[in-house]
Amino acid sequence: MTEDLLPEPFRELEPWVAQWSIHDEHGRFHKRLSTPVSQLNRFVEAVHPRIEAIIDHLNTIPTADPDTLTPAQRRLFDLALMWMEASIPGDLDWEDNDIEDAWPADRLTFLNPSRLPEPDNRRSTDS
Amino acid sequence: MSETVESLFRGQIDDLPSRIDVGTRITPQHYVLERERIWRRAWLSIGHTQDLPHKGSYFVYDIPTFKISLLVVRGQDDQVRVFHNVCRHRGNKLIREGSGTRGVFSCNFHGWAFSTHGRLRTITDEKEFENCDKEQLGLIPVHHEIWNTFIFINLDERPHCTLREWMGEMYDQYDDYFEHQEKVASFKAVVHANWHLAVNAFTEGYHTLYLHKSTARDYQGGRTNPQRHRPHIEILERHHRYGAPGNPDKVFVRGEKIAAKYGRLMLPAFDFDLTGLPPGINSARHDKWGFDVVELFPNVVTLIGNCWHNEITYWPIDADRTLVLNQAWAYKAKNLGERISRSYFRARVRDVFREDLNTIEAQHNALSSGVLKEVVLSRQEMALRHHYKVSDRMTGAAS
Repeated sequence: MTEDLLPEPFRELEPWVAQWSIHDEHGRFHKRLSTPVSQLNRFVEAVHPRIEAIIDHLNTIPTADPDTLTPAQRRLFDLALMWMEASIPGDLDWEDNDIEDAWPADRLTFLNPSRLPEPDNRRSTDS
Repeated sequence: MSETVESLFRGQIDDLPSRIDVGTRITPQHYVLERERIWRRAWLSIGHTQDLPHKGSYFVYDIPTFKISLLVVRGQDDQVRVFHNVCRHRGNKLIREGSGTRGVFSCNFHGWAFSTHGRLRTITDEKEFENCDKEQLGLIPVHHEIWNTFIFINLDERPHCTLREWMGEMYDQYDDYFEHQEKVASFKAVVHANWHLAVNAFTEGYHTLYLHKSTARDYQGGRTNPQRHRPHIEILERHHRYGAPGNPDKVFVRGEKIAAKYGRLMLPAFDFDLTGLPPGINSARHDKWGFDVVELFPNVVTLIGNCWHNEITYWPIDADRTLVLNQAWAYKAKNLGERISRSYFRARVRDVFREDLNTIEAQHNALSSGVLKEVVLSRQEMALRHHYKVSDRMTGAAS
């Protein structure tokens, strides 16, 4: 038996998971910058009809901590975060996936947003 | 007839020159003076108490300006302490990097171990050491004070003033604000430019109409304030702050509307809810207020909104390079929808910041070349005029 990639109400979005359900801010940002704007817009338009249902669904889970989610819920959460990142170029009428006159992405080092109490740092995971 | 808003200025501005020879202030010779007379004497922010959530929580903080490393610890008595991250045996770096929680800090070189209070607990093979008093060999403390959630240090042998004196009238004006927020995201960049220029890039709003036209085209100003004049600019003794005018007619794009449905508005969008803000934030109580920009001279510029703040911390590496840390803080998320909402605004602001960062190196190169004898500053850039006055006062006032 194969594991469901996404919670049942969102199974039709599963083809997007492999490429677009990305765990950390750095990865989502680089996905945006490495994807032609036409492909970004295709993902954004495909998920847009369900984005509010996704967030409503996630809000029924009594937690604010994404690290407590099941793998399928987590992939759905990461997909929603990626939608937020990917929506920007199209919404702002950019012709490209990035602005022209901006600090180069490869000169930014993303840091763990929270200094966690565990013995080892975990990677940046969410918003 | 187009309308405009006249900025209200508070504080001493008559002696702030509108022409500044920045080129002579970014030379290696001047930087050597500044490192000793500004950076070694100032109170400097190194993080927040939220970075140390539990007893035994610690983080390592490397400061390139002085080539030192600090170990910041919440002890078993819940007190925050700052030490030089140096083993008292042979000077090895006690904890290499990162953060976490520990009951004891052991050096991996010869196994000396220190408590969360900095006391030397264990000398391995102790009998082979002559005249070794563990009480005298604890970790070396660094002067520090807490302001709200900020952890400040002072690297002077004997600080010239307390943090309260350093902060001046701002000290009591931000209570019950920062502790309600959590860190959302963080990045760092090494900018090949002098620290002054890295600070200056974030302390005026004049540029926003032009530089951010693609990333945040209508977030400030609007019909009644088309030039985006700051409603108020306050020049304090060492620090300064001003309000940024939100645009009540801003058009929300599609993703922004969805983010707004599930969480609070954050930069570059504002809800104009001024409820419960402490007196230091939007101190003029402007009703179209978007956020404040506060320079805590010399190493922090923070943008403060009603439920978020976006903090930039600066550390000179040398005269020509600056380490810039950016931390986004926001209201604590009560559900996953709020996390998703916050991520949208974070992504928008990341691009805005990248535009700001990208101006700095070009200015440094031009001003270092001597091609401009001075820069020309508007009244909207009063914070820059004040920044150089404070810098000059500290470098000139050395004894």
